[in-house]
Order: sequence, then C-alpha cells, then structure tokens
Amino acid sequence: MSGRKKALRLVAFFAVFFVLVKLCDYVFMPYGATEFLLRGVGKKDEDYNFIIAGSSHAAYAYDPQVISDSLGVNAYTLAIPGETLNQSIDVIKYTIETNHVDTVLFDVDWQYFWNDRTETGQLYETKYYACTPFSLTKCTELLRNCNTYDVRGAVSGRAIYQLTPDEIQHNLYVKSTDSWKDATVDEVNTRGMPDNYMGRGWFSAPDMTEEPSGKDYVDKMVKHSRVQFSRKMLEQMTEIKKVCDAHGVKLVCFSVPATPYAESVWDLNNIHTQLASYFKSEGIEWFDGYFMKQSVFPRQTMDYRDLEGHITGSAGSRFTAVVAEILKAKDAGTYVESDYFEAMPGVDTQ
Amino acid sequence: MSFTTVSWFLFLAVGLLVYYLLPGRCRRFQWVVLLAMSLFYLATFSVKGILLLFLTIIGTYAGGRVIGHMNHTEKETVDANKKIWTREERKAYRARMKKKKKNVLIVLMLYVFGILAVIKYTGFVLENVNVIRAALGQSVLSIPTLLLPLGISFYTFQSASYLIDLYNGKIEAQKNFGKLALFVCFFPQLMQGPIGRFDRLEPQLITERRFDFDNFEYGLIRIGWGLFKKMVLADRAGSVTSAVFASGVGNYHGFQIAVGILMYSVQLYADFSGGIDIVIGAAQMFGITMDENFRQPYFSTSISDFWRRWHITLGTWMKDYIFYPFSLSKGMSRLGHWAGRKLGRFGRGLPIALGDLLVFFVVGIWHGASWKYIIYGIYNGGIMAFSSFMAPLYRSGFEKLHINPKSRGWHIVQIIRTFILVQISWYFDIPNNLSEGNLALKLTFTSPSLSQFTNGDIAALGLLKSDYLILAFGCLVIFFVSLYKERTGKQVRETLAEKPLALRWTLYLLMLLSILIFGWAKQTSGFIYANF
Repeated sequence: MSGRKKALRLVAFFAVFFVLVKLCDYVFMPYGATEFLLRGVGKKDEDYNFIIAGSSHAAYAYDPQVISDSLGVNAYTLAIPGETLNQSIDVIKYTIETNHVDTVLFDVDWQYFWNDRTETGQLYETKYYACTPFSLTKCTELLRNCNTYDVRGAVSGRAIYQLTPDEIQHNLYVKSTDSWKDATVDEVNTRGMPDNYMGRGWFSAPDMTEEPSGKDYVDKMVKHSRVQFSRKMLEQMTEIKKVCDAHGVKLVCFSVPATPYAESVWDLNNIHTQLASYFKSEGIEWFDGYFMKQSVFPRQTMDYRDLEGHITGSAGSRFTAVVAEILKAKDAGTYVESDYFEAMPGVDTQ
Repeated sequence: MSFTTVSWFLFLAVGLLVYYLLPGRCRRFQWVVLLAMSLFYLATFSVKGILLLFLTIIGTYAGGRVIGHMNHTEKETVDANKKIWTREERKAYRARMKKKKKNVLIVLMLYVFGILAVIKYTGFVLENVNVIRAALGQSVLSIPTLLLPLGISFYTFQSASYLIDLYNGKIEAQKNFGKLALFVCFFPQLMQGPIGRFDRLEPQLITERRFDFDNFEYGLIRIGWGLFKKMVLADRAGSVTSAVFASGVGNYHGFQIAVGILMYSVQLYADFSGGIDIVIGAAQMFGITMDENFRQPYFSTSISDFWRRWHITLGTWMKDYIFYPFSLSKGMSRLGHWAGRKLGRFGRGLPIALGDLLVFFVVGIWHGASWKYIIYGIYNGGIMAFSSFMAPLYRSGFEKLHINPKSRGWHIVQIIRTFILVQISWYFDIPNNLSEGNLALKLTFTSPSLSQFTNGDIAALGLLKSDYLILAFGCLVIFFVSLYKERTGKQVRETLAEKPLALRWTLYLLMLLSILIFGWAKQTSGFIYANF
C-alpha cells in the first residue's frame, strides 16, 4: 500500500475515533447548570454585551433581565457557585471570544481573597472538558496546564462521564428535549443549581419560609476576615482587569451585601480597607455593597437563603435595580456609606 | 512530563515533525533532534538533573575513549608483532593489557556507581548510622536532601553496560560525545527503562530515517495499549493499594490486606508494563525498536523464570554483568569444586546459589534505599538459591513420586506456586517500610475472616462493585492477550495485521474508547517506576 493511502487511512481512523468520542460525550456527559451557562453564552444566535461573573453570591444576586431593561444592554450571568478568580478569567475570555462584550460586572466576594483558592467543583470539571471543545480559551488553557492535564480531557468530556444506566437514560432524555437543543434549560436537569431558572443564565433562589441557617460557617469565617488578603488572588484580579483592558471591555466590580448577622461579626472595615486600596491602585471601579445604605437597599435576614449572604431571588432583583441605578448615576456616594459604622448603625462589630 | 499528559503528546508530535521533516542532507542530524528532545525532556523535570546526567556522560565518554584506545593499542601491537612474538609472549602481553584495562574499568565503575551511590543512598546510609549513634548515645548526623535526577538508576546501568562491553571488546568506543550522550539519555527510556544495550540501541539512534507508516501505526497502537493498562487497570487497582498501604496496614484485616496485595500485583504490572508499552511505542514512531521488558511474567513457573520475564532488561543486565562474572570467576570455580567434594551434588550448586543471592541483593538495592527493598531482593535471591541447591532433590523426588515435570498439570501447579511466591514478595515492596511489611504479612495469616467479603470490609477499600467488574474485565483482556502470546510466541498485532481492516479498527477503537469511558479518575497518577 502506498504512503498516501496509509496516510488517508490513518486520517480516516482518527476521524471515526473523534466522531465516536463526540458520541460518547453525548451519551455519557451529564448536562447541568454549569454546562448550560457556558453553552448558553456561546450560542451563535445570541450576542451578549454585558456579562456578570463571580461566584455563588453573584450567581444568586444579579438579575440580568433587570440590568438589560435598566441599562438597555443584553446581559447574561456567568456567575457560578465556586467560581474562583482564576476560573473567572477563563469564563470572561471565553465570553469575549464568543460575544461582543462591552462591560463585565465582576462580583467581589471577599471570601475568595483571604487564601490561595484551589479550583474545584463543577466549573473545574466542565470548563475545559465539556462546553468549549474547540475554543481558543480551552486551547490556551490546555497549553498553559499541559504538564498536568490528562490527555483524555483534551479530546473528550470524560472527566464528568456518568455511566450508570439510570444516569445515561436521564442524560439521553434531557438531550432529546428542545430545551437542551435551544439551551433554554427549562426542562433540563440543572445539576448544582436546583433553583428557578429565570433566563439569561440566572437561577433565582425562592423566598425563604423559615430562618436561614449557616451561623457556624459565618463564625468560622470571622478570623479570615481579619487577615491580609492573598497576593496571588489579588494578582488574579489584576489579570481579570488585563483581560478586559486587552479587549477594550469595561470592568466594573461590585460586592453583594452580606446578611446583617455576617456584617455584625465579620471585620468588614479590614476587608473594605484592603479591597478599596487594591482597587484604587489598579484603577478599577468598585462599589462596596457591604456598606450599602439600608435606605437604598433595605435588607433583613429573611432576604437571604443562608446567613453567609446568598440572596433570594426577589431581593436579588431589588438589589440588581440598585446596581443598575449606580451604574447609570456613576456616583456611589448616594448609595453607599463611607464606612461600616454608617452602614450598620448600632450593630456591635465584635 | 508524565506519559499521560497533554504535554507529552505535544512534545512527541512536535519531535516527530522536526525529526522527519529534516530535509535531504540535514537528515544526518536526526540524532541531534533526539538528543535535543532528550535534554529538553529531562529539563522539564529538573535542570539540575541535566548537570548530574552530564557528570555520568562525561565520565562514561572519557573512560570509554581510554578503554577504546587500549583495545585499539592492544590489537595493533598484537598484529604488529604477530610474526615476532611466540604464543606465550602474546598471551602475556594480553594478560598485562587486561589487567590495565581492568584497573581502568574499576575506577570507572567506582565513578559511575559512585554518583548513583552518593545521590541515592547517602540518606539511607546516614539514617542507619544515626540509628547506631543513637543507640550509643551519640548525637545524630544531619541528613542532606539530595536531588534525585530522573532515571538515574536506568542511565547509570546503561552507562556501566557500555563500559563493560567495551572492556570485553564486544563494541567499539563511541568517539562522538553527543552520540554517546544520546545513548545514555534517550528520552523515552529515561523515566522507567528499558535498560538498553549499546550494540543494539546506539546504531538505531544514529541511523538516518524516513517516515514509515507501519512504525508510526505500531507505535500508536502500542501507546494506546499502554494507556489502557495504566488508566483502566493500574490507576483503578492503585486506589485499593493506596487505601490499604498508604496510611499503615494496622487498621486492616487479613483478607483486606491480601486483596490489597493482589491489587498491587495488578497495579504494578499494568503500571510498569503499560509505561514500557508507551516507551516502546514512542521509540517505534522514530523507527527505533527497543528491547522488550516483559514476557507474560505471571505465567512464570519459578522465581528465576519470573525474573526472565519481568523487567527483562534489568534481569539480563544483572545476569551478564554480575551473575556470570561472579559465578564463573576463578574463586567461585574453586569454591564449587571444594563444595562439590565436601557436599556432593548439593555443593556444586553453591557458586550459582551465591551468585543468585548477590544479584538479587543488588536488585533490591537498585529498587531503592530502604531495608524493605534489600529484604525484597534477598527473598527472591534466597528462593532461587534454595532452588539451585534443591534441584537434584527435586529431580529424584519426581522420579520416586512418578510426577512428570513436563505435564500440563504440573505446569499449572508451578504457575500457581510462583504466583503465590511473587505475591508474598510484594509484602516487602508496597508497604511503607519493613516493619509495615512484616505486620501486613502477619495480619494476612492471623486475622483473615471470610465475613470480610460480605460485611463490606472489602468494599470499603475504595472501589465500587462496578470498578471491580471493570478491573476483572481488564485483567481478562490482558490474560487472553498474554495467553495468546504465550502459546503462539507471536505478538497480537502481528496476528491482527493479517485480519480484515474493519476488525482491526473495531478493536483499536474499542481499546481507545474504553480508556475514555472506563479510565480511572479525572487525572491519572504518575508511574511507579519513575521513582526508581
């Protein structure tokens, strides 16, 4: 057999192999909220120009529909529970790669700054393997970590394969629905985000019917609120700014107000001082929601699904309306107190 | 850059492109591409490691040139005096030269193995010195942390074999420093062997080549087979061995430990032979055929047979450079005669028995600076020495009991017996230290209970039922492939090459897809033998 024929045969073999890999991905790769969000923002028939990124606090707090209506933009939220700053860099890169983005609203949750966060969770599993198989973002990420990433992940989404008959059956059912085909999620198993999907990537948490829990966690975080932030995390924040600057995208940062209990025990002055100093030195616009005036955004414990600060959907929409006003007014002074003691009068910090 | 990472495959792809795309006359520099790849590969682990590698290469090169020069001088002098010298004069001259070469060789061996000894064994020696000093009430010495370069045990042995072969006049000295360096540090074998021989490997490394699809295809299949072993079997079985042995065996009972050992035998074979498959496959893509390192080891009928089938290149190295020179030496010959006179036919086996003990003592030390490895080596050597002594008794026993040692039934008994002996040897390999190994062995026999199979103890070792099924299926695949090779003496790929394309593709695709679907863990672990 001639060399050319052998070469063609080899190419054909790998073509068949990759088709089978895609088939395996279809059959075994589960479809949850994270995959949906990344797939949704990558849809070719949509062009989002306002992107919300961040972790779980942001995922629940920002209603992209309110942003879209108030600011006349086409907003989408890619905030995902557990999303580290490093992951946000890639999420933002991928969004910029697939959309004409003007503005990135990045939510700053201080809990991601006190130590060098490691990447875990669904986003870690899906970001490189599942949703963006041939994107420039995935390729550069693979190259950057090529010394540690397993070659299997480069060709398939196997890192999150589910193999039991029930899982496969459910997966195939989901993927046969129009919701999956259109990335409109309605009937989709939203793995990891069991809340109401409201559109534009937003999963709204239902209103609370009983007192939220999580006091132990909030108390555990007190000592961390008093420390110096991780240099590495701040560098990653700077990297987000660089990515935005490199693509002419405006970066605006917000922080979602914490619960009254968390605000009473965490050292928010320390957090504010460090973050304010950092954002000022980097020239990044940051609105500290921890100091948001009660008159502007009245909040109580029942507005949160836990004491740490994950906000409910209705309070999230109210909060987003304030965020939109701030973005329009370009003056935080009316909305935000200058320090913690003004924001929470009468509350004992200790 | 482990063999399972994206970087390894990118590195291989770029290297292959550069290697084969060198035009016309430049093709004679293909070996330089391999050398550059080898150094780059080593540098990805440690740049300092390259400096230590060069210490070995420089010594090997210089020593090789000296011995080569002495060989050359000897030959020229003998040829020049062919008509003048008597046979005795020629013999005397050769004896003088041999003595000189031997002295040079001893110095070179001390140098080459000295580097290995200092780097790998200083800590071990000092630890034991400290035990003695502590017992004597003296202050303990600080133990320095020395960099252990990748593959030092492998390239040291390869360098030593080059020098000994030169000394024996089997090969010519390599005058090109770069080409010798390439032989010592050829990148695929750097991490876990096989230990190459100069006469077979070096000519292949420097040959000019054109791209060959058959080599490329074979290399790909071999790499795929290696990945299957590593990712489907080794890593999965490894989760059980980690569960049992990583944090101490004291919390486990007899059958749990036995299952852990059994899983280790699967893990080690699949990991090491899988890694070697990837090495051989990668080298084959460059047209270089490496020595095989495994030949169905779990079909061995004795421990000595096992070592002819397991880590073959280490076994043959030991046989050629330690066992034969030792057991055939004049001293051992005299000892054999003396023991034969005193102890009869048992005594005649003494040099072989001592040779086995010495070889496996070295094998143990080669595996690592730890008492558990020394005992592991002595255990293997001891069984072989014992077998050498008892061979005459076995023969007469077979005759008296009317056992046909060539019957299939006895063959199967031998395989099972050897498998059990090998399993026992792992008790000195996988546990963290010798005392853990002893405890594991003791617990296996003192606290077994069949209820451990039903009360969830075995299931608590980190695998689901489905994982055990996948392991069983993978082991069956390897078993049938090994059985086929054992019976026919042919490689499966040779047989497959004669089959229709559709069948071949189906099997290859099944192999690759099973790695994706049934491969263990999101990220694979490193290779065990990379630590040696």
